[in-house]
Amino acid sequence: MNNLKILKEKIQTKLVDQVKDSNNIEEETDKYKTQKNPFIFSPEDFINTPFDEIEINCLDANNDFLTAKYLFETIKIDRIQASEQRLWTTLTHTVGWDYMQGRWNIENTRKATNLKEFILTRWHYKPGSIRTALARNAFSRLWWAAELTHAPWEKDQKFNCFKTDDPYKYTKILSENNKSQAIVDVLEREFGGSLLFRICFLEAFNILVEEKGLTPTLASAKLSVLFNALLIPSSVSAHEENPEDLLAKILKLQEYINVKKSPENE
Amino acid sequence: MPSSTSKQISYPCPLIGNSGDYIESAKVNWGHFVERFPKKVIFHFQKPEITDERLQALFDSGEINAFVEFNSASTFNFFSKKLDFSKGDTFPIEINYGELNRKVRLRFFLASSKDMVINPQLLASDFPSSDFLAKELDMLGKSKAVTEYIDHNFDPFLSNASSIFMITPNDDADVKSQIVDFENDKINIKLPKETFKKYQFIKKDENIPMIHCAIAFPVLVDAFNIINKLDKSPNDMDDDDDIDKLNYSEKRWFMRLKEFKEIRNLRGDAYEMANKLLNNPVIKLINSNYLQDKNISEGDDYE
Repeated sequence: MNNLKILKEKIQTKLVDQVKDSNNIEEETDKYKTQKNPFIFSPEDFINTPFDEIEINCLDANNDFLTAKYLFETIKIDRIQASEQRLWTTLTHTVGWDYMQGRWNIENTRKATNLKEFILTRWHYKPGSIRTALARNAFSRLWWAAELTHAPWEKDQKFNCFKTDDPYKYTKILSENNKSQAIVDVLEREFGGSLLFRICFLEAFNILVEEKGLTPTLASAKLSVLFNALLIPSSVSAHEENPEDLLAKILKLQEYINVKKSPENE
Repeated sequence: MPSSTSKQISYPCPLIGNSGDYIESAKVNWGHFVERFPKKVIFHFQKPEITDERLQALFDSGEINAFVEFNSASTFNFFSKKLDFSKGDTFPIEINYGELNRKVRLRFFLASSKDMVINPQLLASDFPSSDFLAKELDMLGKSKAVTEYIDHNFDPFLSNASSIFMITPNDDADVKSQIVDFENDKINIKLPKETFKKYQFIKKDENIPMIHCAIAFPVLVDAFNIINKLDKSPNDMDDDDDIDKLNYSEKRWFMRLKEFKEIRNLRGDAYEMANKLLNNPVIKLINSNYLQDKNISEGDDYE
């Protein structure tokens, strides 16, 4: 297997500048709409990494979970390496081009979408907070979704109470179809940085969706706001909670959620 | 019992550090320093000093505990640690490589170690009683957020990423002057295309101290100006400063220069700091006898 190559920083900066500074955004947008990748790089534009190469046919635009699992199992990087934008920008502009056209096709965006921001956010890095940038780039969001949820009981025994045979239990909850709001809510909110908080949140979110029949998008959006509000005045004690007690507290928050039941669960 | 006078967040108990809960003289002084190693960092936390003597006494007897909360956005790490001062006035916490990176926010808290009634000395005068019930782990104090920059100073992808500048050609043929872009991890100095070609020729010469003078020095002055502006207290900042903060404070160049400023004790205005960091570049240039001195070599990625 070949090694993964990533774009040199200068090339990556030039790519983002072409979008940011373009006087003709339509011309730039057209490039990103093209089915055949218009970006041609020379071998000198890349540097080698010690990591395995990504295979095009393993990136499934119709299945966030499978793609997240594949990226996580293939690119054996640590968290510091995973916060580097060069890797993710390289994937969106090279081997991941077909995936991008399937998953984040510009033609399918809403009419009011700011296309420059859309391209910067999904193909590059959204300016501003690094947490948001990592949560929005098409590939980094998936790698991080798996990294943050894979087998929590292997990281801390106190999560044995939630243990199943499936190490990707929470990655599925986070990234299966129709749950992309959950990725946003977990990755972009501060509580998503705590293993305890995010696993208990996902356990509660799953119960609300699967057992109580709430729609995933609204359940995640509302539960995350309420959970955040619960944590602010009790941040010291919350960090010390055991997972089952914290889960019970999060589930109590459903009293304040008034959302319609999911049609598919009725 | 609710905190009746809190202006922003309602906590179960009054908090030192929460606006209006205590009189102004009630303060907690927190201190720490950081030792950086290639594969770990060690935070040394100093025992807090509380101006409310009754709370200080409860802290000294172990009935109130101190906690520090780490928030590292770029590694999605958010956790809290108890600070144990039972063996001395400082408490070290070792954090392994990979857990913290770039901008790390620290916040300190005081919390009750058990259920008890507390009657502080400096509680706000409009609080309905002179004491209150605190349950175990109820928060009793909080600090403002402080930021540490943990730059591991290594390139995860085996190329030189530790530098803070890069020099690139500007593809826009209409632009005839140098443009400096602070919005990436490195400060990007974009030269007009023709100028860049000449620069590439010049940089092949081993002696280019003039790079520091003519290119890097003024840009570094601008960069320190940004840093100094953002170091002002929030009350002194205007709207533009807030935008800068959002855009720049997580960039690698910003963090590295902030670190240099601390480590090398750079003081004064932006010009003085840049001059000290580059070690008198104008004088170096004159003394180097321009292109005849072959002792210094630089690439186009450099600190």
